[in-house]
Amino acid sequence: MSRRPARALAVILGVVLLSPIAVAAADHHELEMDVGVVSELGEMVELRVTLRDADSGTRIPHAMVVATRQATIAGVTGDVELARATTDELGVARLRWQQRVGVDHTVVVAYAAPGEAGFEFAEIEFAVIGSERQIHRSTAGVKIPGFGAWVLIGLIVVVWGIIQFTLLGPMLVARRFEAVETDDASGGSS
Amino acid sequence: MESVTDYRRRLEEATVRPALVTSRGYWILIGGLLAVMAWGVYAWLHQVDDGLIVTGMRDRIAWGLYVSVFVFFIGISHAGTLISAILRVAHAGWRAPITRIAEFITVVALVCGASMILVDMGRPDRLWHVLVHGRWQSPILWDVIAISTYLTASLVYLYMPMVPDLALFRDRLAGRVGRWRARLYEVLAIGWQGRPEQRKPLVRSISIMMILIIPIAVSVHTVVSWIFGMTLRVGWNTTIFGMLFVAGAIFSGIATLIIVMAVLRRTYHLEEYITEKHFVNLGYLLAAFTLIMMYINASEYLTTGFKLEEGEEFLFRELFLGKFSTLYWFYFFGGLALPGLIILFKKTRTIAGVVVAAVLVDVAMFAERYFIVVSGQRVPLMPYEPFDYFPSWVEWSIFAAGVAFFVLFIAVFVKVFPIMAVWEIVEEREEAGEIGPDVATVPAGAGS
Repeated sequence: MSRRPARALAVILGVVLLSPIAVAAADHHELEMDVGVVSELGEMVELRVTLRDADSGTRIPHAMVVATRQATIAGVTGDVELARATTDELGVARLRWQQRVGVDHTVVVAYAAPGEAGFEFAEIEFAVIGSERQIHRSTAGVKIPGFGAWVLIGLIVVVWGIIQFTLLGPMLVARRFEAVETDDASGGSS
Repeated sequence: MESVTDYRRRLEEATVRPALVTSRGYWILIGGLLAVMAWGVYAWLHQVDDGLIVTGMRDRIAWGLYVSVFVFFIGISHAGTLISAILRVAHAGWRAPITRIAEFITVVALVCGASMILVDMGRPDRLWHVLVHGRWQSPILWDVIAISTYLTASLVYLYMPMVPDLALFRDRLAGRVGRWRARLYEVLAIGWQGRPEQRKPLVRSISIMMILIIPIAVSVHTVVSWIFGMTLRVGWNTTIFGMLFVAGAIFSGIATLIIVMAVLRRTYHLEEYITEKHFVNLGYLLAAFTLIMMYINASEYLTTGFKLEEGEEFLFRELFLGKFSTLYWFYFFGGLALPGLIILFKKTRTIAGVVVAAVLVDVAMFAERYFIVVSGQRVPLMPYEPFDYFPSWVEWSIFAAGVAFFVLFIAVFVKVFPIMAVWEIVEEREEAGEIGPDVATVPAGAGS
């Protein structure tokens, strides 16, 4: 079995085993979140949120729903917005984002019904698999036959070879004459 | 007409004198420079201990003063070898007295520039990673290769023409200097006797190097510019950077050469050899480059300004009206327009005038390096407030130490090595017909 279907199976199992539906109740509203709480790194996550009135059970349309998670960048911690959507006539909002976090984490869902002041919050835990994957891969550029790092290496070797040749040439000649002179001097003295 | 022998004798005396005579002022200078360097080392150790947090750099502006100094020093390294090589290739009849100084500036500036990258890394022990994990596809690795090749080639190009002069020092200073120096000259002179058989390969090697060093020097500053140009950043994302950096390097290189020449001329009384003609001729080169720099700047800013993307607009406001406007307009008027005007008018085209122009150019080019490096990083990549970068005392201290190191290196060089190429100057004067062959003394009454 290749790794990709295996990961997909793990996602499915995770979704089945780890409660596909989360319900959060706030003061005035009830939030139903339909999502696989196991997600795969780099894949798209779709969080389906249904918003109801807590008393009457009536679905609430035209409400703003925002998904955020906490992140720390260079020592500064804050909320990173993942996605936002507005509930439709059936009170359903679909939030989609790419899973970029390589570890299990909490996503905070904030919602505000029309006419209400301020947001209410609910949390959902995400388990992430495939954290060994590299999400961002640059695509290969234009490949020109015969052009690559070896051309650069060859050029460098030629340049260094010329430098060495120019340095060693006069040195060897000078040393040769120095040796001849030393021989002459010792021959003359003997 | 003065004979070659008399002229050579005087020239040799002038070249040897700095190696023999040391004034009290020299030692005070050395002491002062060492003190500045010691303070810089203290600041650097503080940085190594606590990390780059002691600098003004953060994640949003991660390249600051160190990288600006690096680019500046690599730029002035073009003083030497490139100018010297071009003048040699062009058979400029006035080049000989200034080539040695120019070539030495190159070597020192390269060492200073490269050391700034080591400082900027924060973890100097990770230099090893460049060799172990370096990727051939990375401009950083290209830069390491280009600079190390240029440094090696510059050392060879400095050394080869110096061999006959080292032999002169070996012969003239024997018994007048310490043993280690006498031994140094003996080793470096590689048994030079001035024979035609020795001269031929030496001249051939110099000829090869003077051709080879020009593309190497051009490649170095082009690759330095690619570190910026190949980064997707507003202000850096331009194809003209290679040309701008190479032209700017030669520009600041000429200016530095003029300043160093003026100091050495005055200190060691080299007025006979380094004349007003040298300053004026280099001044003409400087003036030509003010125009080239203006042209490249106009071309760069006009094309990006015409399209004016959002980030570019922010950058232009910062550069021309905002935070960097003082630096930019000083660069433009003080570093390009004013030096050009000083050299344009005959009344100010004097040694003093050219030196003033050179100082302005060097200061302005440093400012230019700074705003090129920093201003582009101030453009926000996400909706956040632009980060205010200002170098900390640690960065200023290490910068001062770098400059002190540069001056110290030159001060030591002029004490130990011949600062003028005696054999080349004599040849040049002979070719110009300014000195002639020795006239045999005819005894009185011999013709009768």
